[in-house]
Amino acid sequence: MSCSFLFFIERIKLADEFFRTAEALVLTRTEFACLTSLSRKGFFDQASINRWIKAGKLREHKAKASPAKKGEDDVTSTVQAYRELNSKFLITEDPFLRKKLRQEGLKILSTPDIIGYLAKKKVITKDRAVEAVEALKVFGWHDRGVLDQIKEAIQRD
Amino acid sequence: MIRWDKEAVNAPLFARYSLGLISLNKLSKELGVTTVEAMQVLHNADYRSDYSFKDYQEGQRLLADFLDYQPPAPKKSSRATKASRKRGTKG
Repeated sequence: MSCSFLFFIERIKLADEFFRTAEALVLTRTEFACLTSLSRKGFFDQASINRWIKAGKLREHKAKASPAKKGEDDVTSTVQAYRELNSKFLITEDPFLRKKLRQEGLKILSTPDIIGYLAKKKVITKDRAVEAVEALKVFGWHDRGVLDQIKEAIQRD
Repeated sequence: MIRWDKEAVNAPLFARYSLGLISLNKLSKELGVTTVEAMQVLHNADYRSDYSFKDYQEGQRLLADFLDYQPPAPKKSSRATKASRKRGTKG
């Protein structure tokens, strides 16, 4: 449900593995607009996006209830989409959203969680998962020490 | 990838994000960039996500409790099955 998650998972070359295990990734209107603008700027391979949309794995959420008011932050529309879709999880890389949405009782995940899960379910090898965690360091978004702990946990489990 | 200078970052806006007052989407809109570019802005200003190892452990627990993905069983070739039948072993 987050275009930055999709960016990370695609860059670490695990998007197809993720979509094989996930029913679908649904983006809110704002997130879908973000994806469009990222792909226009060359951050995404448009062919991959088209392929995921065609396979029904990537969708834009059309809100049933009235859309969030102008100027309102993403929390309301995200909670609304999550509940309307009866979602299992919400994936976000944004600490602000993670905190706010947890307070609303939503189940929140981030990219490293998905990597650990794919390794645990043997969709990818442990070595591949460790490689992917290492690749996340390039973006500098997650703390390096935390990523090292995750690598150890993957190798141990 | 775009390079951003610390000086180019809108300081009050950055402070609002660091304090957890606005979302990444809101920050990127205000900066007039995409969220990924906003992440780069923050990275160059030494900002790191507060995602912790505890979050990872919680994520693994949630996934184990709520998802049960079963990888498809590998298909056996008919030739291998025939050969094993000859040997009297299970395919």
